[in-house]
Amino acid sequence: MMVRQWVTGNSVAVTGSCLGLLSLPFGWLTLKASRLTAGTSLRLWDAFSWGVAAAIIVLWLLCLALSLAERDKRHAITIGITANAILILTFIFAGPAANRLTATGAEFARVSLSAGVWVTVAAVYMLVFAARQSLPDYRVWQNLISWTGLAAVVILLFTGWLNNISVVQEFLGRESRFQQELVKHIFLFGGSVIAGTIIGIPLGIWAARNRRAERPIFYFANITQTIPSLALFGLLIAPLSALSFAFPVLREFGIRGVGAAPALIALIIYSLLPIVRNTFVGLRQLDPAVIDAGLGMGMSRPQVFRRLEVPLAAPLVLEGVRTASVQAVGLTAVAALIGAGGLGWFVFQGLGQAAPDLIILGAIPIIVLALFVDAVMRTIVRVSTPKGLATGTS
Amino acid sequence: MPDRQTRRWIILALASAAFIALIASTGVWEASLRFLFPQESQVLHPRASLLTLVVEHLGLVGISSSLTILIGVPLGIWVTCPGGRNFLPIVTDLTSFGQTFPPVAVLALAVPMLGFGLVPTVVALFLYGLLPVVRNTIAGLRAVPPHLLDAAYGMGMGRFQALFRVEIPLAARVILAGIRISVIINIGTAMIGAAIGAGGLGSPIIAGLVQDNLAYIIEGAVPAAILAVLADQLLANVEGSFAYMPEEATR
Repeated sequence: MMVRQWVTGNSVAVTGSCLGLLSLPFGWLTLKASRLTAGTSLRLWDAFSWGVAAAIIVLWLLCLALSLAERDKRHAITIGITANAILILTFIFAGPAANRLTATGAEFARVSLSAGVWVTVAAVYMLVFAARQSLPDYRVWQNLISWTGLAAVVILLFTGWLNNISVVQEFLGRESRFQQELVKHIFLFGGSVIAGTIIGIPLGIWAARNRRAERPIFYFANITQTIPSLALFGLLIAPLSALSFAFPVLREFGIRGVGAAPALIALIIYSLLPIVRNTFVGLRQLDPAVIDAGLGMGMSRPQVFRRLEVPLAAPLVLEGVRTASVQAVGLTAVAALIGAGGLGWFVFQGLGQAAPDLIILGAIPIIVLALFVDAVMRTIVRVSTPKGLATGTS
Repeated sequence: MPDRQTRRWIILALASAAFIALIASTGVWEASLRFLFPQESQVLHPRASLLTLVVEHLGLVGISSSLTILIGVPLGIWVTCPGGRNFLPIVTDLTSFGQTFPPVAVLALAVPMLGFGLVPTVVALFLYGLLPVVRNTIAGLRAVPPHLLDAAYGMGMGRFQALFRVEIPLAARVILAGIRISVIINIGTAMIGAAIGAGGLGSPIIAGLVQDNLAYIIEGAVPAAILAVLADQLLANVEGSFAYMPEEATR
């Protein structure tokens, strides 16, 4: 680990505090007459009351002072708590501010969060990160500092406190559609990753066992990975629609030029490379002595495979599945362009209607889903790593 | 017989020449698309010629990737220097965290903040492209064996000399690998930029999807696929020309 330069305080936290102070002159809320019109942006003191604005400024100055002086863990903990307080204050007061503004504004008035709030979120992230770094031996504090603010915002969202913020309004107006597209998204990316795993693992094993198969398999997987997703979707549409014209029966199974069929095929192709590559590396990196030892102990070849090669290669294979899954969440969003549905539908509808809230309603859940899938897969990789390997991989 | 590396360059040059000839010959495209899709009344996207679209696309990727390299590599160098060492953990955290973000989502979020058109696309491509470049710059520099640096200092090199004559040359291959990943992602994401009005090869595909015209889709998809493969080969060749590869960084 690196040695901190305590003399100058905590430079990451100082930068974070300055960024936080920098958020003040930006607009914090934007008031729009309807969801499509451009709005007027409101400064911190116009959006909230002067008191709240003063409190936030004081808290930022406190953070700055503490980070300049940071010496011990109490300072770090105070910085972390203050940063969380700023985040919570911002969102607690954003709710009523939005209620007040929509009540006094035009009939379809909307209030959205703007740059000031986003800069604040970034600054809070920097401070929380810096505080965590200074508390390496205090797991409880680390977790408290990392998650309290986020949890509070999520609770505010679910209790309806933020219901007059435009993105939430957009969501409330399309709740059933949202659930439907979310499920579709999960099915599309989940299905293609599962299929990619079922095809990819045997291909990886084959490539690891057979030097002649290795080159063509990787050549194909690398080339397809390079092709832009929109182009690959496009290239699959024409042959599939030709196929469905030639054999109308196929249409009954949903195989048409556009829609889920080309999306699934392309997503499976994209998920192949990480899985094949990691299976290949997982098997090739094994120490031949381990296999010799297994054979010497009287294991048969299938036993060596099942009891030595599979468990030792599993973490790397799952790591490949993780890469493929995270990538597939994003690519599924593109698939909405070819009519496959999923959360990308909101993004592209929003782009088509020039409705920013609708775009955000699609984009943020896509990011959250990707982060969630990543976290779940990381946990699976960790759990599946044999004890002896735990420090070697992941 | 030329060596392997020279042969690769020759093949790439020939393939690129063939590609340029192909996209410049509008007649060939029109004839073959008419043959494939007799039902479409119009087979070439009317907004711009294919050559213009390719140039637009390359311009989009070129601007954003140049910005990425100009800012990403120095940023990666800075956080591995003593002066920026404090920022190394947060930058590492951000690059791995940010790579979980789907590029489409980043592109989409640029619209509410910056509006439609070229600017939000370039900004989104630039920001997303930074991640692999910064990450690989850090990985490449950290993989330089400390004893080589000691040797450099022992020879009387200053910090800058050691950086430019030892560290960067040794890390070059890993940095270039990061640039390659970044550019390929940018080429793919720039396709979707057409949906927010940035032009490029995505525009015939989007127009084809909206108007249900298969010929437009092929007109955009085939050149885009070839372009991406050629760019990948070009960068692979550049990467291959830097022979030294520190073992820790190969992954």
